[in-house]
Amino acid sequence: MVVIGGGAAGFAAVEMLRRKGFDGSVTMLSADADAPYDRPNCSKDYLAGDAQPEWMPMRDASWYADHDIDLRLGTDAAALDPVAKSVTLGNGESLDYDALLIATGAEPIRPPIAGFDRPDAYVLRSLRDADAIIAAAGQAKCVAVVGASFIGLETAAALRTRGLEVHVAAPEAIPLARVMGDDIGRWVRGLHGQAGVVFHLGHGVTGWSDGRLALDDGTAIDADFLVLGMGVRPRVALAEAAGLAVDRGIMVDAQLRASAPGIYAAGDVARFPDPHNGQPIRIEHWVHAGRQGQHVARAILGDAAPFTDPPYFWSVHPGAEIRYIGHAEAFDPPHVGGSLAHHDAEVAFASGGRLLALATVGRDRRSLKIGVELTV
Amino acid sequence: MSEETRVPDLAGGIPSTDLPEGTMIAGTVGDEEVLIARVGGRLFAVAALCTHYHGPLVDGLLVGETVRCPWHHAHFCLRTGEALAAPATDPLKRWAISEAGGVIASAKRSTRRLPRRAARRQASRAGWW
Repeated sequence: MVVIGGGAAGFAAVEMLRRKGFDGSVTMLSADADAPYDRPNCSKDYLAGDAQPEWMPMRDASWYADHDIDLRLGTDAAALDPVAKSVTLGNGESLDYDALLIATGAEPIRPPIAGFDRPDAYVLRSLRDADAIIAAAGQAKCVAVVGASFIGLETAAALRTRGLEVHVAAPEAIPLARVMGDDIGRWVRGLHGQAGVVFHLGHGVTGWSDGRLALDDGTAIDADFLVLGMGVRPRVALAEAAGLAVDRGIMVDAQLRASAPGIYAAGDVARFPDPHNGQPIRIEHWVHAGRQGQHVARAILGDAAPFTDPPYFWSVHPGAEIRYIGHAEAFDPPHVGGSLAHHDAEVAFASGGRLLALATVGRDRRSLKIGVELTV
Repeated sequence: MSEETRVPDLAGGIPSTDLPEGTMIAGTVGDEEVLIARVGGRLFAVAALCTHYHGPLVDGLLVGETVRCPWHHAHFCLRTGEALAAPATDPLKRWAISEAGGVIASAKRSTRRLPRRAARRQASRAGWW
């Protein structure tokens, strides 16, 4: 068994394989410098300084050796031969597999905007990325965040906790509106505003140089450094070069099998059939990636069940957490039940009268119940 | 758990009627927090906090013989304590539970088993894999 990727899906797969008694060899290749860690924390408590570094690893270093898992960090797979069933590493070494899991995840987007390739324009994906931002924050008074995405907003809040002046610039008028609707978006904007985040919404950015982030209305934000929260793209290059079916993600079937024998894909990189309608979807959530990794482990051990778990994620904002169960790319104008202001609310996302997803604040059991309902 | 809720001493025992079918209660055994549940006529006792971020499982949901964490939706098997679904991977510790004379009581398990990870580690050192 070879696993490419040391994120949620890769880790969950090898952990479940060994837990269930898989006694074949397991090699895990990770481009990351660190052994699998608690990635969501990189934009939450860890970035804010409220989580200790020793809380971050999924397992202590000895666990991998104890479980006969050959974990190779800082290691890229250079090529994949689906016919010979082998993976070639950058150093020329070749690894044969009976089963291969591609869980290469996604990488932050750096748009081709002047200055966005500078070393003081940071992205946030890895633990090392978080450490670099923490180091920069230690010598800074002011940061500008580009993008009012979940990562952008969580970064803004975390750096406010560290006492920085924080500006957020984004083209949309209401943060998160496309995903969560206007009501949650406005409420979230208010939470961050109360925490001292300064928003520059409705503006594109045109460049970053000499500590100035230029906006498309001719104004500028002065900042000591920049964090880009502008989304991610799936890491599909290896699969694409190997001739696997790829369409903005590695195409897999309901058992998470890619288009060549013995190859699976899971997590952010995989595009799998939505159990509700068969439409191929790709999900960028930590819990979901872990679930898919676990599913691949069970599939390798002979379980032919389709993957049917509804996607789930949580997001942390000043004084509140949002839980989101299900998947809704397009939805009718959502209805807010309860009160967001009182942190006791649910927002249903439906299309054509069918519930697709539910966001909750302070209604945890409701989120779980809808999760059961949305499981096919 | 809300502040006004008194945390029951499960070692001392609680009335059977406090735990109807399909419900769960969090309490203590000594200085440890324990969750007890009655599902399908069967009693279960496991650690009360999720092994992921220590979410209070009593505020979660019973689904068959599983409990789901209110915070990040990990699933655990009440029978074995196994973490069935991410984001948790470590099992819940299990406790003994008994019901007699209208009283339910929980206690440390008399037959102490090694936690799964420790057992695996021993197994791997013994050369099983």
